[in-house]
Amino acid sequence: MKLLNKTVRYYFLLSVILLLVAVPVFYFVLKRIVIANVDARLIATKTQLVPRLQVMEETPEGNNPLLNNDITLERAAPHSGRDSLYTSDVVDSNSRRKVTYRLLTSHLVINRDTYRLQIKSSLANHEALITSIIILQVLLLSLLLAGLLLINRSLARQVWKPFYNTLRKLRAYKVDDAAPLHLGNSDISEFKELNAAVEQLAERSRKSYVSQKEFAENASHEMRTPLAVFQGKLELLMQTTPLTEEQATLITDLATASQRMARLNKGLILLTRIQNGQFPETEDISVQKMVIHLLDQYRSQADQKQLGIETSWQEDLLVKANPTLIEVLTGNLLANAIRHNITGGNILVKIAAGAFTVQNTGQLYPLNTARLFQRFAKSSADAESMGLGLEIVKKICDLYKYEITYAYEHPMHVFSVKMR
Amino acid sequence: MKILIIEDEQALSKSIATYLAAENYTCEIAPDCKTAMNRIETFEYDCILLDISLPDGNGLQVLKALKDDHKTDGVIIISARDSIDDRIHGLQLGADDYLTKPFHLSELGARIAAVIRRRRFAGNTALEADGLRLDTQARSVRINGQMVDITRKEYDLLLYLLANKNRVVSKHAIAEHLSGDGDGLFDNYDFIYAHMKNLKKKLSQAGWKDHIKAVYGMGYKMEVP
Repeated sequence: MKLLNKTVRYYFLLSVILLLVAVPVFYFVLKRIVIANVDARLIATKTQLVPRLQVMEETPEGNNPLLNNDITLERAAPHSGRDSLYTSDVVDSNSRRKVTYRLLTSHLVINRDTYRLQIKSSLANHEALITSIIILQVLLLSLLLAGLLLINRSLARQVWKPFYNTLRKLRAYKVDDAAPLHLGNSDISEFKELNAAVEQLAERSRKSYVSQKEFAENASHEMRTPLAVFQGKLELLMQTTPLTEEQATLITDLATASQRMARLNKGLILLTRIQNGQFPETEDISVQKMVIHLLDQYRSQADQKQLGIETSWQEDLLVKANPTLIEVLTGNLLANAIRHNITGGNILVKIAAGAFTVQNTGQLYPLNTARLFQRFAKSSADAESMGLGLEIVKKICDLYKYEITYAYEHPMHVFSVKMR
Repeated sequence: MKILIIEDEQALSKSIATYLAAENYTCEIAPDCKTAMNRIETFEYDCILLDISLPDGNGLQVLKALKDDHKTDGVIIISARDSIDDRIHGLQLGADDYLTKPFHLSELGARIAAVIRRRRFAGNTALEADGLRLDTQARSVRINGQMVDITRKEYDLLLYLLANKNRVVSKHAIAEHLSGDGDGLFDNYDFIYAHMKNLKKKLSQAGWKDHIKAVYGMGYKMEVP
């Protein structure tokens, strides 16, 4: 639930309760005031009438000009009660409609006879007024409530705008972005503080990321000279005489290890460089041409394993990218297909529907997709594979927003890169 | 032939000097820019090996000085940096080649030989070994005047061995050289046996005494007097 809805809900609840309570209360209060008013008038009329009636002689209930529809006087049994005021529905003789009246009944003695004086006043007009007032009030309150809600909503949208901006920027932020996170300014101090805190946090993680990256890069570079010394000395050792077979085997193993170190070093530097965005130059590249060239280059390796390589060019894929990176991307996938293949296996290289696909035979179970594109996630029995290849591929795909997928379609492992 | 090695890492420069001595190159070592400048002003070299990061400056200034003086020494940059920018920058300044550390000494030997061929003999030179004549311009191989039909890979292999003759060339270096696989995608060196077998067969069928010896699965050595 949104924060806005939450606050508005409470406002709304309060307003509805107020409306429900206030309107009846208002109605009753108004009614009481009206009745008190009418009563006062009735009493005033009575006070005016009584002396005038008492001075009359003969039959006061006859054609007395003081009496009318609303004031009646009739003979009654002697009564000593006090005046009574009450409300009653009386059926109107003309319109035959029930009309509510306020009645004042009083007993008075005229010429030794007891008379009952009844003065009535219609409440219909007053009730109509009260109803109008109440309807008006309800309308007004509802409008007020609706207006309040609307204003609150638009105001909240305005007020929360910096918050949503921050959220959007945070979502898009990656720690390997070269530029620091800028969240912009806000007039509202809470958001200002939030932005400042988040910016600091982002800057700290970015700095530690950068320093880690620099460390990896520097370490990789620094390693190159000692590696060169090591490799050089090994080659000199190969030239020494006499050289026994035992020594030669030892030297070969060392040379293989140093070769792997050199490769690992190259791979790490390439990865850092991709992450640093150090391949800005782009040009139009025909993926098909690139792949054909690479297949030719890897021919000897494929022949060694007696692999059957099939190609299927449904179209030529033209991309605008860095040629080195596209070569690394396609090269790594092709090399993997050769390296992790079985002797006498098959490779199918395909370009269709904007995607470059490599299928190859290999181990007879799917690779662990969760760790497939991670650093050093080895999954084949080939102990010499360096485990950086697919991560490099993934990073290049990320850079150019290509989509790479892996699937195992028995017995083929299928890697597909959607480049368009 | 005289070679100047401008490199601050002594262990490396000594290795290079020792390796190249077998090919009758005379090597001099300059561990910093100042020494290097003095040397290039006074002497002429067939090839200069130049490290870029030196203790007292950038190696590229030595290269600039050379070009400003219109010297014709061949220059191969040997650097730990391998970005395309570094490469292009070095080559634009007039370096003949660019080799990234770590490298195989045999690869360096082959590159030096190529630079010297280009510089000294305008590329028009042939390598000879006991009746075998490899013409780098025509990319052809003749044995006692008879053309031998060999594939591109076999030619590259033969040239590589000739440039490093009388020394053991490791199978790792050969594999890297042949596959042009600088990124090290393969750990399999078996494929060079097939090429080597075919090459040796073709050469001996053409009447050449087999001078290429396998050294205990470690590498190969072409032994010619």
